[in-house]
Parts: sequence; C-alpha cells; structure tokens
Amino acid sequence: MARSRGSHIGIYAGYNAAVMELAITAHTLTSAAGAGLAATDDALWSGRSGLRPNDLAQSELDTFIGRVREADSFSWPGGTDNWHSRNNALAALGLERDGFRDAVDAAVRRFGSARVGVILGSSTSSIGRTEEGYRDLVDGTAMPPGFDQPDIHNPHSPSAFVAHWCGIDGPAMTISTACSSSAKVFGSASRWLTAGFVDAVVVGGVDSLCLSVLHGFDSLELVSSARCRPFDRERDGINIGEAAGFALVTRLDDDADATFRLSGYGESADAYHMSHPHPEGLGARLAMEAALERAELAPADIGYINLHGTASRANDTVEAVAVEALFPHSTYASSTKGWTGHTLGAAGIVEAVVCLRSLEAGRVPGTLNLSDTDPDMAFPILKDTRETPLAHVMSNSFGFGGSNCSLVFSKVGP
Amino acid sequence: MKLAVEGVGAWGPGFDTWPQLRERLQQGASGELPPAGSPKPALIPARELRRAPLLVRLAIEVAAQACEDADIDPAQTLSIFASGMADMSITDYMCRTLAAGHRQLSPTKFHNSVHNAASGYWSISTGCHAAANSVAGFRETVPAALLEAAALCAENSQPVLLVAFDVPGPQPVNLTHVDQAFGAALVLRAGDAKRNITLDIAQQAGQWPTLRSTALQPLYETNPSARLLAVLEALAGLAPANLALPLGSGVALSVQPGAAEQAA
Repeated sequence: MARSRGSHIGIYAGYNAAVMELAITAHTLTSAAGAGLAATDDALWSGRSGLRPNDLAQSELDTFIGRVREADSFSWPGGTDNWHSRNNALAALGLERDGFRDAVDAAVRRFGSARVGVILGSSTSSIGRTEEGYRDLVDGTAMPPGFDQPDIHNPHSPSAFVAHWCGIDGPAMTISTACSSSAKVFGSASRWLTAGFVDAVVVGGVDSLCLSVLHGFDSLELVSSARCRPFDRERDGINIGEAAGFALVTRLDDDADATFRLSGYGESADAYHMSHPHPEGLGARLAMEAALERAELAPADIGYINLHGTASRANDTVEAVAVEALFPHSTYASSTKGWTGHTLGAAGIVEAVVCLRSLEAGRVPGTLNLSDTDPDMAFPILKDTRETPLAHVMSNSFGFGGSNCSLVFSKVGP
Repeated sequence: MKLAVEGVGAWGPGFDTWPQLRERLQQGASGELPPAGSPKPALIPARELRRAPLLVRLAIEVAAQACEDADIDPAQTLSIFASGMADMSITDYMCRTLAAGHRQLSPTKFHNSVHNAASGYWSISTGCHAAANSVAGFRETVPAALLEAAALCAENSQPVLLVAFDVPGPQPVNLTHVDQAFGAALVLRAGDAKRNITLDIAQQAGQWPTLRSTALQPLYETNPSARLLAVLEALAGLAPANLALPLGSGVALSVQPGAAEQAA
C-alpha cells in the first residue's frame, strides 16, 4: 500500500472489512453557479460566478450571496403542504436535473424501495422556514397557520423529504457536522453498502440561505462585504451560498460500467477549537492522509485538490500548510467558492460534483477572484483553468467543531 | 452483526449512571419521575464548561461514563453523536431574535448552534482526532444512529462510541414535547463478549415496544433519544428476544440482545 508521507498520528487503528469499491452512478448539482450539470460546466469553464449582492428578504447585510433564484418560485404540487420550505424546494429542484430522479427510480425498481437508503448532509435543514414562522407566532408559542409542519422543523428535514419525494423506504439519516456534512455522507454510504444494509444510497446535501446563518457568521466577523477571494492577500471573509447536490452510490460490482468511483474518504477531528481551525492544520492533514490510505494512493497520484478554501483569513492559511505537508507542489489545488459561495452543509457535495466534472472534462478550475496570492500561503494555488489528464482527484471539507472530511474520486478502469 | 457492548453510560430523570437506570428498569419503576439533574462532566475544561450548554454537558457526561465503564481511552474512539432535536433553546433564541428585527446574534450561541457542538466539545475535551459524526433522524434518530454504529464497527477495529441525547426546549420548536433530559451512550466493538447485542436491518415495518417501566414510558415516547431505552431494557434482560425498531418506512432495525446483564 502506498503510504503518504508526514504521518505521525494514526486515527484509524485498522480496518475490519475489505473496502467495497463504490460506483458513482449518477450525480447532479444546482447552485448559484447554475441549475444542473450543463449550466455548472458552463459557469466553471467560462469563469462565470454565481455570486451577487445580498438581496435576501429581511437581510440588509452588506455582502455577496450565492442564491439559487429558481428556489424563489418553486411550484409545489397539491397535497404537499407539510413539506414546504425553501430548503425542500431546492432539494426538489435539484433532484429533477440531469436525469437524477430517473436514476433513483431505476434503482428503486432494480433493488426494491427498502434496499435504497438516503444520507444527506445539511447545516441549515429547513430552519429558514422556522424563522419565517417565528415572525407571526400565535400567542408567542404556536406556529401560525400553514407552519404546523413537524417534519420540517427539525434537523432531519432534508433526508426525510428526499426519501418521501423519491418513494424510498430504506433507512434515512441526516449528517449535520457543519461544513463537512455532505462530504461525510460518502463515508457513511460506503459503510452501509459494505455492511450490506442497502444496495444503493442517495447521498448529497441541501443547504439554503436564511437569516440565522448570514447573521450568525456575521456575528463571528467571518462574512466579507466584497466577493470572496480565496487565498488572496486581501481576502476578508466568506460569501454564503445555497445549493442542492446529489449522487447515487452503488457497489462497483453492481455497476461496473460506471464512469466514476469513490476511491477513498477520510474523516478526522481537530480536537482544537469550536470555531477556529487547528493552527498547523493537523485534523485536515489527518483526513487527507486517511483518504489517501483508503484509496491506496500516494499524494503524487492526485491530479487536483478542490480545497475547502472559504476565503476566511485563518482557514486558507491553515489549509495550505496542511496540503504542503503532504503533496508535491506540482499538484493542482484551487478553491471554487468564488463560483458558488460557501454553501456550508452542502459544500461537500458541491465540491464533490466539481471534482467529478473535472475528471469528466480533463480540466481543472482555477480560483475565481484570486488576483494577488497571499505570500504567506505555504502551497501554490491555481489561479486559472488548466487542461490536464486526470485519474484521481481530492475534495476537502472542513467544518466548525473541527470536523474534517477528505474524499478521493477516480475514473473507473485503466 | 454481533457487537460487544463494552461500556454503557446514562443520565436522566431519577438516574445519573447506568447502574441506577438499570436498577430502575429492573424494578419496573412506576409513578412520577423526579426532575433530571444538570451534569457537569469533569472531562470538560473549566473554561469550556462555562460556555457549554446543557445539551453538550449531557452528551459529554454519558460519553465519559461509557468510556470509563469500557475502560478505554476516550481519545481512541470513533464516535457518533445523535440528537433528534439538537439545541432547541438556541434555535428558539435565534428565531426569536431575528423575528424581533434584531440582526445581532450572540457569537457563542451561534457556534453552539451547530448540531455537532457536542461532538466538537468531546474531541476538544478528550484530544480525540478520530472520525466523529453527528447525526439526526427525528423520531428514528436512535435506530439510524445504531445502524451507522454497526456499520462503523464492521469497518474498523477500534471501539465505537454511540451517544444519544436530547433535552427539553421551548415551544413552538419542541415538536415532540420533550419535558425531561435524557442521554445515554454505548461503547461498541465488532465481535463477541459476555455483554453483546446483534444489530441488523430487517425488511419489515418496525414497531416501538412498550417499556416495562411505566414511569419511563412518557419520556421514551417524547424524547427522541430516550428511544434508546428499548435497547437498554434489552441489555438489562427485560425486553423480548427480538426487537424491530422503526427505521425507514419499509425497514426496521432488528435488535437481539445477548445474555442479560445482572446488577452488580
């Protein structure tokens, strides 16, 4: 097995089960950069950002946001009132793109509805809808008419909704580890498939714009009033975005003709601070090492790293240090937050899909809005799109509470 | 999948350890429950304890108890922190503040609002760098988290710490009418042991069993994490040989307890 260099703290004592090879049989993304893969590709390769000045109702915060306009006017079919929320509208929109829903339906027919699972990541779930209800409470303690929706006013709302919407009767779970949520879904799906609990898993993440995240991040002085500039000398914070992204994961044995596979994942904890990253990026490095180890790849095998790269002062510096500890400087590394904003609980799936688009295109995106790279960055950051043959790519997602996850995706076959 | 149950921790109304809860279960406790206390786990450094909400303190308390019972180093565990409702007091605070037109939120409350706050405090307090998850499944939070725990045990040779915890909160967000805190933790590892449990997925609709202890039944029905009492009763040798707990609309988590655990 190829070992990554620089390891001194092991986080996995050993694996029991032979790692099941997993196929990504379908994927889709709806973000501010575009609804569906064609629009996403177009935005990525033409360098068109989805960020715009904050125009979220009720919020006067001076910042840019990554808003999915289609979610404003989603037309719900009758009889679905109990599921209405912006977060669920975004999920429903996302599912309809790129034949994803058809792929899920086919998996349900093929394996049986109880053999398909749902694991989605979210940090907001439908709290935007809860916020809305609070503006018009009855007697200060009851939701107003139309807002009595127990299934959405709780953290599990996105997975419960997607299972219901797609007629999936298997196990459903929501992962909520802040900004690593929808990266960690791939690890859990791998475990469920390897254990034989299910035959297919709908993974992904849905996060939606709402006041509590905009003003919560503002209270921590992490929001930029300008367009976010990852790794730039002048970077001064994040732009918050929303997105819905999904992937259908099966055993490669069942879908040998798939184009992409999940070849590795690594999860770790910083064990350092609730809202500051470890100063040497220890947790980040451990997650990347574990992902490489599981993929049985050496750092030099990775052609591209989609960095977490939020454009916060601390995150970018520390992430560059962690990447530098493992990877040769010839590895392309960039942040795509300038296209989508930081979609928080959906960031993992957004950037997993960006990685798959890169593998597909043989092209890696640069870093939008990066003009003057911070000289303190320990690792070279790619500014502009590059054509390059790719076999393996990595995506990093790091969250509050020191929750880290790195994923490795590969092309199937030689 | 057979799992060794290496450690158990519990905190709730009328009990602040697993042996106390086990005794209550075995006595088939009836009548009114006393109010649950407020744990102050020694594991959390004093400066963090001040800022740690009840939900976090409860989770860390039972997690620490389970690791101690298992006689393992907490820094070596893979962990799953499961809460059906997360911190409803903070959700209520943020929604009320914003609804009143204020845009200035407390930064401490905001960073404690993440569902993985307890998991974060746990890793900080123990220095544990291993994979730590934070999951929710509303009313089926406990079976979903147990399924993930079984899968994590199958994958890794390390012990897996499963923590389930929910505390009361204000209306209108307290959807299941949680009125008492409950937290419990299990240290699980793939393999056999005197105290063991077999978890698997079953292609059938699940059903929540009625608890033997009538006093705990309301807690069990309202606090999503207290659904773990069905499994804890089984560990105490009080439940039917086979449970099928609701998991998805077409699947159940089958739970088969091994030999009953007797009071020391």
